[in-house]
Amino acid sequence: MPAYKFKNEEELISIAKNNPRVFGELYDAYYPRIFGYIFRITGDHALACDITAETFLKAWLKIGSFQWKGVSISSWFFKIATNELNQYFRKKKYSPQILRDLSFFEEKKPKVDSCFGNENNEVTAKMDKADEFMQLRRKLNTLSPKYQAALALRYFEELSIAEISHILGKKENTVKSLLSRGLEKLRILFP
Amino acid sequence: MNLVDYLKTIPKPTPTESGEKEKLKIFLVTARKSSRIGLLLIGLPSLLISLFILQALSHFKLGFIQWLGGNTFSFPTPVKAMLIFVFLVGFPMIAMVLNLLSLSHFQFDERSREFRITFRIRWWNIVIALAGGALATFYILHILADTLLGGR
Repeated sequence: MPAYKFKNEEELISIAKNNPRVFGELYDAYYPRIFGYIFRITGDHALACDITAETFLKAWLKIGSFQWKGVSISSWFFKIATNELNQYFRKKKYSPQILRDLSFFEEKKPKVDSCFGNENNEVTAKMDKADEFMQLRRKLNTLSPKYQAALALRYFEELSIAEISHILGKKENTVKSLLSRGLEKLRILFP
Repeated sequence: MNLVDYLKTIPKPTPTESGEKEKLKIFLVTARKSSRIGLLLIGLPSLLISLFILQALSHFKLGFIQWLGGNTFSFPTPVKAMLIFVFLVGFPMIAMVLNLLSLSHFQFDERSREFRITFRIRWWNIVIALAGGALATFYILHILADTLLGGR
């Protein structure tokens, strides 16, 4: 368990605004959840890496404007990640703006291919084993991004309606109806 | 089994963490260092110059300046000149170069055989780079004026 868990998250965030090392603690704590969320929606390891990196870069650049409202910062990370995913689903391709601006993207590309070689094979093997999940994900990907995000956050990430409401910036009742309509649309896809 | 139960119970794959995680963390944790070092490299010489100017204008004896003068009095003149030059020109120049490097991006495109230089707009780094350049120029001009006018 990370050391920060024993501190007040509000205090930790206010320190993280001026202290990159403390932001690093938040990054370490939430990277796996955000990466897992993006990966379970896209099913693409390399793409999930890029979207997660862009999510945390944006979070780092905007953390100064983050205002504590009694909700864990994880909801904010999920919100940025969801916006990035929406961008990907709208354009059917992903162009990580900040990652590219920082030249991290171009410089790492050859290394990434080689370092992702093993990772990708490993992940592909895992995904093959999770064949049933893959089929479900493909069906989910045919729905519009708003339903995908609501369903994935609720059933894959096991978040509460209140948390999803913060992430999507919608009222709890709207989230409930998004889930209900999303389930209806998904049910049609199952023979 | 209904769809909700199915979604809840289906085994979900957990990806292995990417090797990129640590690389990105190092980048995030060190991101603001260039501007901080730059600020320090400019801040100290600026403070010293301000104190000298303040003392010269107000004819008020400042303890730190007296101490500095007293302690560097025994240094040979070329060493003293070199130290002052490094402090007042070298440090701001390093600050300027560091901040300009953090703004710039160099890329060589092998296919089109083009070397591209791009600059990002990051005001904090730009201000520090300009301040560093201004400080170094100020002192170099001061030395030039002193040498040229003093020689007459």
